[in-house]
Amino acid sequence: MDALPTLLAHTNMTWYLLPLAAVISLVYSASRYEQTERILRRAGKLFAQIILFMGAILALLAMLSYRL
Amino acid sequence: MSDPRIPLKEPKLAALLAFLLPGAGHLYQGRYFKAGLYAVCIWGLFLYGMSLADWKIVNAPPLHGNASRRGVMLKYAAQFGVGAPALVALMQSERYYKESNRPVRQLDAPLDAPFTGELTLRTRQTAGDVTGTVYLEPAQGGFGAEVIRGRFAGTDADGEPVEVQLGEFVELGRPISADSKRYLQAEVIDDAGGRIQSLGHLHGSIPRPFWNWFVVPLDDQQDRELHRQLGKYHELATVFTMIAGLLNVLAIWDALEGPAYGYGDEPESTDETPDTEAEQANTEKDSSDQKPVAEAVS
Repeated sequence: MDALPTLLAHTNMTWYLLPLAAVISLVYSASRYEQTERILRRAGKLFAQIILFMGAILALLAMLSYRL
Repeated sequence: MSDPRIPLKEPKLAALLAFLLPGAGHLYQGRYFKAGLYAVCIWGLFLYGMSLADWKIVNAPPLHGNASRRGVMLKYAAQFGVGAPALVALMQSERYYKESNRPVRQLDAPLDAPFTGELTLRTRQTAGDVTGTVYLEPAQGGFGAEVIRGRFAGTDADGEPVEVQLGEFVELGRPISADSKRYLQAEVIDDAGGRIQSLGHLHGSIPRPFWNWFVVPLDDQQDRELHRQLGKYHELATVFTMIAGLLNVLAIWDALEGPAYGYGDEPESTDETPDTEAEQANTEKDSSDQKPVAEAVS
């Protein structure tokens, strides 16, 4: 694990979803529109949608695996 | 879709620049916000993925032969979108799979390099860590064979100076490999009096130049070692670099054709499903156009 940057070496992998979702939202929205304000607003919305969707999946899986 | 307000300049050139360096195509077009956004997001994701895996996660498949390594093709195809680093990896793959890239037992020219490793001497019956410099040069061995001879000068773990002769059997790792350290093993000899006597063994590594290890394909052993070392972070690094490459495809398309939905000052309702909305608008327009005809018929 020497290769990993120290601060993130022991971070729970789930947290990597946040920067990944942010980057995907920004780049996808930027490829749809030109106006800065529209890109940022749409990226924020898409980011929230991704996080909510993944959160719902996480909750479902947690529920299904309860007491397993 | 292209809007006259968006300066695409030479779209094909911009797309090429966007492929080679994410963000560069938009910088050329003067679309500075997007240039910064694409550069930070795509380079950030890609470089972070690379750093997670010790800069060894981009492996280009061999262009000819060596079918066993073609399994990396799918991963590389996604990473290819990121441009320059993927192209460098392809070039490194060509160099790595050349016949001449094999462990070295002969030298064309003398070689001096810093060395770290372990020295085992029979006379001391011990092995110890040593650091110093190896001086190697081509020489004639027994029966006219070309071999490597030289010496090591440095210090042991206690700081005591050590100097030994190397010869008879000296082997260096292949010149190009996905490891910043190049292994070196050599027999320690004493050739005083013209008679060569083996005294022990030196093994360790010398540094490999950056361009001889950066994004060079991993061999099976190095691949297994990287998996063992990183565990699940290997997959994470792979995903980050693959997604970075795929996202750059969107950026390339944006540089070539402009944004997919429009400038962005259209009504908000068209945000999600522009095609359906547009079709609906067209249908309404058509029906309103046809209305007078229908009324005339009735």
